[in-house]
Formats: sequence, C-alpha cells, structure tokens
Amino acid sequence: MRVAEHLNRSLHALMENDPSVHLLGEDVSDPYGGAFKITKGLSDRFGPRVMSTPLSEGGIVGVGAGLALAGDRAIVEIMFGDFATLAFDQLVNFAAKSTTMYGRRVDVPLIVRLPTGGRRGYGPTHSQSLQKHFIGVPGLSVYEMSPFHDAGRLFGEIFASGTPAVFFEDKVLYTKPMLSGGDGLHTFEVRDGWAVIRAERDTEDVLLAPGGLTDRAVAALRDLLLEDEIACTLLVPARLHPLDVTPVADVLAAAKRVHVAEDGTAGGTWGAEVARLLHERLWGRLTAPITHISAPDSIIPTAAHLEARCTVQPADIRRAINK
Amino acid sequence: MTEFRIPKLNNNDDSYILVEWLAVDGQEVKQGDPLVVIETSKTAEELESPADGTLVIRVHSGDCAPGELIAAIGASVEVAEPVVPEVPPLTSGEIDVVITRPAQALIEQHGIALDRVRALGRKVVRAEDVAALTDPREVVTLPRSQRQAADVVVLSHQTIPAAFTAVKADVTDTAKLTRDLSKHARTLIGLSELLVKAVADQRAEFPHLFASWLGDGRIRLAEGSHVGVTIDVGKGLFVPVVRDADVRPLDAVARELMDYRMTALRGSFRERDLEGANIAVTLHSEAGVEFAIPIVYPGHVAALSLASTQQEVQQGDEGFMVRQTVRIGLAYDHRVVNGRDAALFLGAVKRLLEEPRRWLE
Amino acid sequence: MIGAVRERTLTPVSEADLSRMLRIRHFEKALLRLFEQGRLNGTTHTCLGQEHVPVAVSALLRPEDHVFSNHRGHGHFLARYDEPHALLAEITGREGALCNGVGGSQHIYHERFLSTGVQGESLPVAVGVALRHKRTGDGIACAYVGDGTWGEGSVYEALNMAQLWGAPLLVVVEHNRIAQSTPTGAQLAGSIAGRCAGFGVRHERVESPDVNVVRGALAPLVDYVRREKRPAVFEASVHRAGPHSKGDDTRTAAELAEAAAGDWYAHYTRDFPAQVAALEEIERAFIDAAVENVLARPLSEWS
Ligand SMILES: Cc1ncc(C[n+]2csc(CCOP(=O)(O)OP(=O)(O)O)c2C)c(N)n1
Ligand SMILES: [Mg+2]
Repeated sequence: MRVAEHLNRSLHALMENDPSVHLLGEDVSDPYGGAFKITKGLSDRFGPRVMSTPLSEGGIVGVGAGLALAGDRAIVEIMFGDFATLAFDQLVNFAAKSTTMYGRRVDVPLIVRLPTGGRRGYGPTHSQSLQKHFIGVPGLSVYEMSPFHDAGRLFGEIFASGTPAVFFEDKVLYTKPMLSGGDGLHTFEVRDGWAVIRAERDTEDVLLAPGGLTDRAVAALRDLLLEDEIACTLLVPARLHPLDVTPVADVLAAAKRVHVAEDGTAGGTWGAEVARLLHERLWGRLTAPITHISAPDSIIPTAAHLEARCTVQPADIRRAINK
Repeated sequence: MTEFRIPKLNNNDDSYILVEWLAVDGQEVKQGDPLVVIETSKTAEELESPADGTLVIRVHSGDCAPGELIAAIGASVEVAEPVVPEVPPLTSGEIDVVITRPAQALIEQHGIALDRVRALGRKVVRAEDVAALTDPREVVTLPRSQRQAADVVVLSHQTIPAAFTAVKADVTDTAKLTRDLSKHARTLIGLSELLVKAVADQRAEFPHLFASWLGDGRIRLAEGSHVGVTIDVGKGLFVPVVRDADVRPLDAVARELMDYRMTALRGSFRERDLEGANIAVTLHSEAGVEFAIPIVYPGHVAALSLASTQQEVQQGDEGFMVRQTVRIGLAYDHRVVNGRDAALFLGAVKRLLEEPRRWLE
Repeated sequence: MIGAVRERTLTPVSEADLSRMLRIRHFEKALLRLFEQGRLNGTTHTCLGQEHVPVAVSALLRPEDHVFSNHRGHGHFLARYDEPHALLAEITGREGALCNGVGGSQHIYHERFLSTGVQGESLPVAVGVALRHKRTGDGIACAYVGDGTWGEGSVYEALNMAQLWGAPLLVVVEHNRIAQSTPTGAQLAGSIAGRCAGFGVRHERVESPDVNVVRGALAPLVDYVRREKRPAVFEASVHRAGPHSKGDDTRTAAELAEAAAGDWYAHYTRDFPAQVAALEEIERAFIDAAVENVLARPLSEWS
C-alpha cells in the first residue's frame, strides 16, 4: 500500500472510531479529496465533520484550535506546507501556548497536516521544508510521516497527548509503498516511535533522518553497503520534537560515527538540535564529530535540473558518510 | 548560432546597464536590426544584431559587463533533456545474495565459482568474505576479550614511549617465609602478593610512577595506590584492580587477589573490578620464564613484571649454594621518569622482597 | 426559432486583440500538451476561458504601471509582454528563461510584472508599490486575484490600507466561480461588491465574454485609480474552461458544459468564424514554432 493510501485509510479509521474528530482544509471534500487525495472519501462518509474551507490558512488553524479547545479533536490540512507560515500565529501564539499559558494544563488536540518538500517541480513557494521553524516551540510537537510508521497510531498518540502537533508529510513519499520486514539488505524494525533500519552485520555508522528522507537515505545505505562496504544503521523517528532517543539508546551507544540528514537548509534546524543532543550523550565515544547533511542554502527552484541541485540526494548522504 | 556579447563601449566603465531589449526573446531578427539599449555612465547606446536568426535572450535587464554574453542568435540544435538523479524505488521483501562491488572485483580477479560464494551463506557478500575463499587457510575472528586487549596494546604502543629496566631479586629466604605468612593469614601469600603490596607501598616515595600523563608536560598524581594485576586462567586476560593497596594490610591484599582468581575462573568480573588502576603488575609465573617486558597501560606511567623463580648456584662464603631468584621488570613512560628513578624504584621493591623480616614488623 | 438568423452578441473585435487572445489560448494548450507528454516539470495553471480579461486590461495600462499576478498568470504576462518564448523557456527551464528557470510558471519577475504562488500575498505588496507611484507620478499598481483568494486576510488588510492611504491600486478579480475544486458559493459568503463597500472601495462588475465590453467597463475605473489616486476593484465574471492545473477537474458534465458555453472562444468562433479561423491558424503555427524553438535550447543556467 502506498503511503498516501495508508494515510487516507488511517483518517477513515480515526473518524470512524472517534466521532469527535473533525477535518478541515482547502478542497478536502469529495470528489476532489484534497490536492494530494489524502482525504478522499471522507466527506462522503462523514458529512459535516469534513469541511472544505475558504483559502484562509490562518483562519482554519484557528478554527481547528477552537474545536479542540471546546472538546472536539481537529485535523487541519494545509494544502502546501509552505503556507503554514500563514498559520504561524495561530499555531505558535495560540494553540501551542494555550496548553500552558493560563496557569493550568489546557488540552488542544489539534493536528495540522503539512504536505512538504520539493522534488516535484512545484517551485519556490510550494516546495520548502519548514520543519526547523517549529522546533523548540513550547507546547508544540513536530511529527513527520515515514513509510514505517502507522499513521493511525501517531494521530492517536498526538490526540491523547493533548498537545497540538504539526505533522509533515513528504510529497514524494506519498507515492512510495509502506515498508515492513526488510528489503533483503536491511531489516526494518519499529519500536516506540522509531524505525530502525539495520544491515545484517554490526555497524559503526548511524544515520538519523526524518521519514521524508527515507527513499534517499535507504538508497544511500544500499550504495554505501554495496559499493563502499560501509554498513550503516538508519534511525527514523516519527516525532522529531521533542526527541526522545531512549528507545534507540543501544544503537546510538554502539555508534562510532553519527550522521544526521534532513531536508531544508542549514541554520537552526532539527538536525542541528539532534547533533546538540547527541554530542552531549555520546561525546568521547564517537571517533568523529556528528556529520550534518542538509540542502544547500537556497530556495527550491522550479526547473528539474536546478531543483535536483537544491534538494538532498542519495549521493549527498553517501558522500558525507563515506568521508 | 552567433553569440551576442556586449562590446566595450568606453574606457571608464567596467559595467553597464541593460535598459531594454528592442526585440523580444524568440523573435526572428536580421543582421543590423537594433536589438538592445545599453546605458553607460555617459550615454545610452543601441546595439545592432550581428546576424540573422532567432533571438535567444540570456540577460533580460539590469547590470551587465563588457564581454558578457547577453543573447544568442540562431536556433541551437542540441536538444538537452534535464537530467535529474533518480532515486531507486523503495521496496520491502527478500533477496537471494547480493555481492558488493569490491567483492565482485575479487571474484572476477580470482575466477571464483559462484556456488562457492553462495556457500558462504551470506546475504551480502563482501570483499573480506571473498578474500577468505581466495586463501585456503582458515580465518578466525578473535574473541571479544582478545580484540579489546588488542585495542589496548596498540594504543599503548602508539602513545607511550616506554623504556625498560629489570633487576634480579634473591628470594630464597622470602620463599620460606611466605609459607608461614600464608598459614598465619589463612590465605595464599606468595611472591605475587608480596610484589603487589611492595609496589603499592612505594607511592609516597615515587609518586610519579603512579601518575597519569596529561600532555603538555603535565601529569596528574594519584590519590591512592590502585594496582592492576594480570590474571589469565585461560578465559582471557583480565586486569582486576586492588584498590588502595598501600593503606591496606598484606593479608587483605592477598585475600582480594584470591577472590579475583576465583572470579576469573567464573568469568564474571564486574565493570568496577576492572576500573581505576594507576599502575600494573603482570605475572609470568609459568616455569622457565626468565623475564618479561610488560605493556604500560594507556593512562599509566609504569608496569612491572614478575617472572618465574629460577634456581641458581652461587658461590657463597661456605662454598656453593643454591639460591632462588626472580627477575622483576619495569616498563615506564620515559616522558615522566628516567632510568635513575626506575632503578631506585626497582631497588626499593627488590629490598622488600629480599628482606622478608620487614613483612613481619 | 427555426430559420431565424442568429444575431451577433459580440462587438467587432480588433485583429490585435483577437490575435493576442488566440496566442494565449494556444500557448496554454501547448502547455497542457507538453504536460501530457511528460515534458513539463511540476505544475501549471492555464487561463483557458479567461484570456480576454488580461487582454482587455493590458491595453489600459502604461509601461510604468506595475502588474501583480498569481498562479494563473500566463495570460496576464503575455497580454502585457508579447514574449511567449521567454515565458515558455521559464516554464521548461531553458536558456532565455525570464528568471533562469528558477521561478517557473508562478514566480516571475520581469520588468514591471511580478507573480507569486502564494494567494493574496501580493496585494499588500501592491499597495506599497502603489504608494510609491502616488508620490512619483501617475503610475498605478494592478493586481490580479481569483475569487477564492478573497478568503485570505491579506486581501482585506490591503484594501483597508489602500483606501485609508489613497493608494492607486487596481484589483482585477477574475471571478471564475470556482477555486481549485470548490465552487465560489462554498467558500465565499456575501459578495465581493459587499466586501468592497465595507471599505468604501469603488467596485465594478462586468459579465461578458466580449473583450471590448470588459475594457469599456474597466476604462473609467482605471482612469479613476490613476487620477484620484484611490483603489478600485474590478470584478470580471468569467468561466474556467480548463482544469485547475492538470487532470484535476472534478466538475460534473453539466458544469463543464456551462463553463465551455461561457468561454469567450465559443462566442467568438460563433460570431466571427472566418476571422477566428484565419488568425487561429497563424497563432497555432507561431506557438508550435515557439515550442519547437524553446525545447531545442540548452537547459537554463543559474548560479
Ligand atoms: C496561500 C495559498 N493557499 C492555497 C494555495 C493553493 N491554491 C492555488 S490556486 C488555489 C485556488 C485559487 O482560487 P481562485 O483565487 O479563485 O483562483 P483561480 O484558481 O480560480 O484562478 C489554491 C487553493 C495557494 N497557492 N496559496
Ligand atoms: Mg476562482
């Protein structure tokens, strides 16, 4: 099953099992079912609980927060993650802060889904990876979809936490299959929110990457193994922030070299935050500083040949790990 | 295709401004047609087309420099399709056998049959696996404890410029005494135990030998005599630590060493048994070993070795007699101490071993 | 009315206007074709059915005026700048591209034309540009937006400031009754006229496929904006005859038929068949040659 279909089914199950769940977004209703078809069939099935909205990103995130505040649960789809900037105020100053700023815990079960990333030729205003702007906001969780994680469980976990979350979904990942078991070269294991992708023999290199990078990270792992005979373990967390590394402490403890890859440009990023966290834990055990792989400092151009230069490719990951 | 570059229009400016194109991109132009307006610091000039053909504008407006290519005239013929790196598809499932590129090269080089490669039972066949097939001799991976020992000795060799000195001690009288001591203390007290204690007791006099090299000509002195003692009962080499051996009585030291021997047999050392030594004593009690050069542990300054007891015939006042002797070796970090200190230290240890009466005091 | 001669509903059209409308039409059709052939990267929004609006608008603008465009901007550009090669090079990432292939279909900055893919974003920017025009001469800022974009708060912030500060801003609304897949009735409460009234901003609405009628209705408004240095909103009711972008039209057959019937092209072919046929041949050939020319160029360079 493709990731897009898995997300769609997860939303169906979520809305079926919990009548308090509402979904809002531009063009999410049938027969269109959202720009990426993730919400297909929902409005036909759940009627008024699914709302196609005006072009009002700030507004609809506010509405979602309001529903959540009042006892419902809300999922808001922003058509392109880039436009999350239009809802930044509602997310950062209202939804996130409200959980604590009134001097007592206030639950805001709100998920803002953000189709994200380049490599589809949509151009500079429709291709960016904005994760870094949401890292370290008190009261806001940051998730990213991967082909290993069950989206339904993640949605359930977010709602149960009462903490609002942004949920990034890589636009190319939509077209990839969900993965389990292994690919012959690596085994795939999911434990406590982390996917662990391991080669058959022990590895001294560990790569951490969000789910959207999976295709490129796994491609790099294969090349490293088959061309360079470097075995590397890939760790994919579903929740990027706050990041809890305890479930993979054993893998990290065995590492001699750690690498962090992410889409988006360097500077105040998730990857930098991971490196900070891991340097504290692993200092002295590593034989080299943590490597950081990110996109060049650039907007994402439209033309395919230029876009490829400005997004993280398997070869970039391989080169960094091979150094 | 003709290139259309900006000519040098005056001597003052190194850049001009492209004000406007008089023809649009894609237009058919004729040689001599006015094409573009360029502004210098003095004038605005019209430039004419150098050829007939389709105009392909490269620079639409703004700053430009003499010699810069601003357009091409005439259609280019090469059709270039954008090349975008392809990411292989994500899959899950099983594979048969995959051979890495370096392994493949070896297979071809040595003409190894594929069924032999398959018989390795590896999913991913690497060069090292194939290399084993090119050489009939068996390849064995050393046990974990030996691999750790390997790391330690390599580090020692790479980082510590060690020198070595040895002395001979006459332990004839001591050998007799140890029997009494053992009986009295109800635990085995032999030369090893005496040596550990004798070494530990030198810290007040020779603090540098218990120190740790910090670099930049500085050392950190120890706050206690923590003596690591090699124990190898055939289950790998361990170096448990007798802590504060200088302030504890001999029988306590001996008992702890006995405990460690038992632990070694069970193979169940705890991390803390093996941590924190600042000097080491290596035991080479197998018969016939005359002397041994120990390895200075990374982080230590000195290591001693105790060889096996030898019988020697010596000429004494009353004719020939048989004496028992041992060689005690000292390897030391020459950055910290010199031969003289080593000799004095060994001398002090030797005296303690040769004059057993001191132990009874 | 059997036997009755069908009456013309359109006013006679100039060759220049009709050619340009057809040129834009064939440019857009060529894009859809290239898309189908997999020779276009990413996305593109064609303005099929709406070509006459920018052609009507552009004749009323002066070279010093600024135009702010949106995702559906090829017509806006080509009506103002007759440079289909450069635009196509931009969209296909070829040499001669307006912005080196970086911006693509929806992010273009060329002379006094600027577009961006974020709906509503350009309106406050247009107010800023208009304020400068007001200080320095008789230029105006003209911003195209769709009906759906009236959901964005920035539209109202811009109208408020423009009216407060007297900014010569012309907002051209291409009201095509739909936003992507959502009919206007499902995303816009009240009316655009009513919203403008709330800010005291002058508003005109025209519903005609006739380029002359549209221009005729707009001309006094442009005059007003230029002379009085005030904002105005011009709402042209149109039909989106094509998909939102590519292959994503979920309208019913009846809705599609209605859109096709409202297309200016249908009206002009009916009223002026010979004129359309003659010019169409020329424009189709011109665009075909342009496509061939541009696709034979090397890839754009950007450093
Ligand atoms: C801020 C923002 N939100 C959403 C989108 C995605 N989007 C592009 S066009 C469009 C519909 C626009 O409708 P309308 O304004 O009526 O213009 P039309 O497409 O009908 O010309 C949407 C939702 C966007 N580009 N920008
Ligand atoms: Mg619309």
